[in-house]
Amino acid sequence: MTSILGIGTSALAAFRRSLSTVGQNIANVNTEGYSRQTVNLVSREPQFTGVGFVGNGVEIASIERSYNSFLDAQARTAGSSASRFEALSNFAARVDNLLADPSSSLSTALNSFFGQLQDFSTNPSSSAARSGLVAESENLTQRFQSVDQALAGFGNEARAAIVETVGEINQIAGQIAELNTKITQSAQTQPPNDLLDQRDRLIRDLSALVDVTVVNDASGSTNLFIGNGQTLVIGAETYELAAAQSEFDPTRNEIVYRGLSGDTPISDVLRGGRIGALFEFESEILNPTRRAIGAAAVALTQALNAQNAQGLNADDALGGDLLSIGPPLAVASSLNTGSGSINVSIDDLSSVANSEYRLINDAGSFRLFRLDTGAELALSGTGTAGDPLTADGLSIVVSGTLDNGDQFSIEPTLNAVAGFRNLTTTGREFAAAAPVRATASVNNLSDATIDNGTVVDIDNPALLNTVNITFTDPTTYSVNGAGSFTFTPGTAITINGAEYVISGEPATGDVFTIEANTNAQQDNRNALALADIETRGLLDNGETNIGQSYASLVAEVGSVTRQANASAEAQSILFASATTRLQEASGVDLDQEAADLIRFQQSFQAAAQVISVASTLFDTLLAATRR
Amino acid sequence: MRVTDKAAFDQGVAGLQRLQASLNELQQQLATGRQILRPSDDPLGASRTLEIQDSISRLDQFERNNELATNRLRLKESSLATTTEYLQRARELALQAANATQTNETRGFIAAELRGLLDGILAVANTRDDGGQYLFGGFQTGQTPFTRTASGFQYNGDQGRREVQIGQSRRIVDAEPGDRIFGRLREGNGQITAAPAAANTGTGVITINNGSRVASYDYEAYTIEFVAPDTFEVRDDGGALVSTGPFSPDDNIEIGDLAFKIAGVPAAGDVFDVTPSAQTDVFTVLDNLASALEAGSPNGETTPQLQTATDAGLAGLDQALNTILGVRSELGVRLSVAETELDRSASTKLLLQEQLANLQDLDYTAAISALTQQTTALEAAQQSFVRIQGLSLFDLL
Repeated sequence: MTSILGIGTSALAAFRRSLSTVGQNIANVNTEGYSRQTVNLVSREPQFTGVGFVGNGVEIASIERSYNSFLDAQARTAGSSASRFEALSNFAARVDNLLADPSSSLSTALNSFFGQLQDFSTNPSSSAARSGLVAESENLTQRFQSVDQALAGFGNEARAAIVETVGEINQIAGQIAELNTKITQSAQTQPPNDLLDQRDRLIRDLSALVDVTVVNDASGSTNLFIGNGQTLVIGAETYELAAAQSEFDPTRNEIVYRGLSGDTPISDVLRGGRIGALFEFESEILNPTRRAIGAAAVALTQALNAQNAQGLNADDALGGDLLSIGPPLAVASSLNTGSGSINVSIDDLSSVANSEYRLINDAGSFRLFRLDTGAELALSGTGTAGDPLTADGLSIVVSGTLDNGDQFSIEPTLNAVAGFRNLTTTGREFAAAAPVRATASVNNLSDATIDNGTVVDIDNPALLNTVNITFTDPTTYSVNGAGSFTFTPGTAITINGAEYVISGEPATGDVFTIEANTNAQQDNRNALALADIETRGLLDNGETNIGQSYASLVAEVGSVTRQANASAEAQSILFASATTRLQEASGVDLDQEAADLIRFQQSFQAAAQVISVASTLFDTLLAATRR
Repeated sequence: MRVTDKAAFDQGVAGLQRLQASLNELQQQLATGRQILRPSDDPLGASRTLEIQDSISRLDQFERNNELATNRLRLKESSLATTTEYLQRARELALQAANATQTNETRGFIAAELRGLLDGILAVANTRDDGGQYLFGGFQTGQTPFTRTASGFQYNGDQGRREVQIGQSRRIVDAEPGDRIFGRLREGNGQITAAPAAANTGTGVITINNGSRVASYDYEAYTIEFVAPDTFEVRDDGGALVSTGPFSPDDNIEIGDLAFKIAGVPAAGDVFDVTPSAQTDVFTVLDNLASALEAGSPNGETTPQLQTATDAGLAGLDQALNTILGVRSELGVRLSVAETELDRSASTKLLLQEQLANLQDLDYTAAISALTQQTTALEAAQQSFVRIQGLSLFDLL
C-alpha cells in the first residue's frame, strides 16, 4: 500500500513539474532565444521481491532544452552576414539617394555652369553673361560643397555608429563573461538551461555586430575571439575594445584593442557584422566617392584657372584664379619620432589613383605605397623642393628631419572639396580675350598678313609689349628696329612668348605691329577655350571629362548599392530560413504545449486517482481491522 | 516539421513587409513616371541617363548659340545688301560722271549724291547690334569702327573674327573685321597706279597695259616725263634715269615688265607718276571721286586728271563691290552651315530623347498590371495571416 501511495506521489510530483515546464514554455513563447524545455521522466529503480522486480514510481531524470548547436551556429553565421549587409545597404542607400536627388546633382550644376560659359563665349562683352558666370561659379562650388558635406556627414554617422557598436560589443562581452561565471558555478550534473539560452542569444547578438570565433571549453565557459584571434572573452575575463584617436587623422576615431600588451589598433582586422559593414562602407563606398568628387573639383579648378590665366579679362589684364581648391592632405603619423613634415601637390591629376597613399621613411630612403592595391610605387627624385619625389602624378617635398620608420598618410583629393571656393566677385575677372593681337600696317605695300598670334609662354614678362616687325627687305626683318632676322615664309616668328605667322610676300618697309589685345570686347578666343573644358579629358589618363567622370561615379555607387541591396536581401532570406530551422528545433509551438497541458493534466488526475485508490484501500483495511 | 508560433509570426510579418516595400516602390515609380528612381535601380542606365541628359543640354546650348549666330549673320547680310545697293548706285553715278557731256555743274550734282551715298555706307559700316556693339569692328566693338579724320578715313577696329560654337566640333565665324569689307582696297590695278600730274597741260591719259600682276615688280616708284612731246624719260624714285625713248601713242612704254600706254597728246614738261598701289577704302574712293568732280576742270571739259579720277573711282567701286559680294557669299555659306547644323542637332536630339525615354520612362502598362498583381498578393497575404494566426488549440480547450 505504501508503495501505491509512493508511486502515486512520485507521479504527482513528476507531472506537476512537467505541467510547470509546459507553463514555462508557454510563458516564454515570445522570449527571444528561449529554447523549449522538456522534462525527461524515468521510472524509479524497482524493488526486488520474491516475485520479481516491483516498480517504484517515476522520477525526473533531467529538464532538457531542445537545442541543436549546429543550427545555432548556422543561425549565428547567417545573422552576422544579414546584419552586415543590412547595415551596408542602409548606408550605401544614403549615398545612392543623395546622388539620385536632382537638387544635389552635380551634373545639372556642371551643365548650367558650362552653359553659362557658352553664353559668355557668344557675347563676351555682355555684363549679364559675365555676372551670370559669378553666380554659376558660386552655385557650382556650393553644390559640390553640399554634396561633399552630406557625404562627410554620412562618414561621421558611420564613425559614430562604429563607436556606439564598440560600446555594445563591450557590454555584450561583459554579460557573456558574467554568464560564464554563473554557468560554471552552477554546473552541476544538470544544465542551467535558461542561462545557456541567454548566453547563446547574447553570442548571436554579438555576432550581428562583429564576426566572432566561438570556442566552448570543458568547464562550460564559452570563449570568444575577434579580428585576428584577439581574445574578447575568456572565462570570466573580458578584454575591451575602445575608440581612440586615429594615427593619421586626429579628427577621426580608430578602434583599439585593450589587450594585455596595451592598446593596439584593430580597425583593419575587424570583419563582418555591423562594424565590418561600417568600415566597408567607409573604405569601399564613401571615401572613393569623396575622392572622385574631389578629383572632379581639382580637375575643374586646375583647368579653369590655367585657361583663365591664358587670356585677358575685361580689365585688359591677364586672368587670375577663378576657383580655389583644398590641397592634398598629408598627415604625419602620431607615432612619428622625427619632426619632419611633407608637402604634397598634384602635378598630373589624371594619373592620381582613387586611393590613399602611404609614404614611409625606410632607413633614409623613401617608399610610397598605394593602399587600395598595396603596391609599392617607384619614386623618382630626392624629396627636396628642387627635386621633389614624384609618382602617380603626385610630387612630394620633404622638409625637416625624419626618423627611420616615420610614416605619412597622403590623401590627394579626399578633402579637396572642403576648399573648393569661388574666388570671383565680378564677371570682369573672366578672361575672354586672347592676350595679344597683331596687325599689318595700312601703309604696307604688300598684302602680306599676320595672324593674331598663339601664346606659347604666358609667363613671358614682355608678352604684352608693343613690338614692330619691320621688313628691311622682303626676306629680312628687324624687331623694334633692332637686329636682322631672316624671314622664312610659313614659319612662325616667336616674339616675347608668342608665335606669329606672316603669310604672303612682305615688301620692303612693311610693318607688322604686335600689341596687347586691349579693348577687344568681343574677343572670345579664350572664352571658347574655357567653355571647351567641359569636354576635355581631364581625368583617368585623359580619357574622361568631368561630366563623364560624374556619370561613371553614379554608376559605380549605383552598382555597389545594388550589390549591397541584393546581398542584404539574399542574406536576410538565408537568415530567416536558418532562424526558422532553429525555431523548428528550439521554438515553442503553442498547439503542442496545449496538447502537453492536456496530457499532463490527465496524467496528474490519474496519479491523484491512484492516491485516492490507495487511500480507499487504507480505509477499507482500517475498517476491517476496527471490527 | 514543427511550426513554432514565433517563426510563423515572424515569417508572416516579413512576407507582408516585403510586399509592402515592393508596392511602395511601384507607387513611387508610378508617381514620378520614372523607371529609375535611384542609381542602384539600374546603375548603367542611371549613368547613361546622365550622359544623355548632358548631351541634350549641350545640344540645346549649341542650338541657342546657333540662333544667336544666325541672327547676327542675317543682320550683317542685310547691312551688306544695303551697302551693295549704295555701291551700285555710286557706280552708275561714276559711269555718268565719265561722260564727256558733263559740265562742272552736273558734276557737282553727281558729287553731292556720291557724298550722300558715302555717308550712307559709313552709317552702315558703323551699325550697332541690339546690344550696342558695333558690327564691323572685329573684336573692338566698343568704339566706332570707321571715323573720318583730317587725313581721310580710319579703321579703329582690329583683325578679330569671333567664332561661335554651334556644334560639338563645329564653330562658325559670326563677326569679322570691317576693314576686310570696307577697307583693304588697293588703288590702281591693285599693284600699281599711274596718273597724270596735276600740272600737266597736255591731253595725255595714261593706262596700265601689262594685264595681270607683275611678279618682278619691287614696289619702286617711277616718273615718266616728257622732255619733248615725242620723247619721254623714265626716272626712278631717286631721280636716276632708267630709260628714255621716243613716244608713240601706239607703243607701250615699258619699265621692266611694266607696260603703259598714253593716249592723247602729252605736252612737253608733262609728267606721269607711276607708284605702287597704296591701301585705300571704299570711303576714300567715294570721297576722292566726289572731290575730283567738285573740283571739276577750269573750262568744264573732261581733263585727263578728271578722267583718271573717274576711272580710279570706277575701279575702286568695282573692287569694293567684288569684296562685298565675296563677303556676302561667305555669309551665305555660313548661314547654310548653321542651318544644316541646326537640322543635324535637332535629329540627334530626337534620337537621344528617344533613348532617354527608353531608359528612364516608366512602362505604365507593365507597372499598373504589376501594381494590381501585388495588391492582390498583399491582400491575400494579409487575410491568410489573420486566419492562420487565429488558429489555436487553446481556443478549443
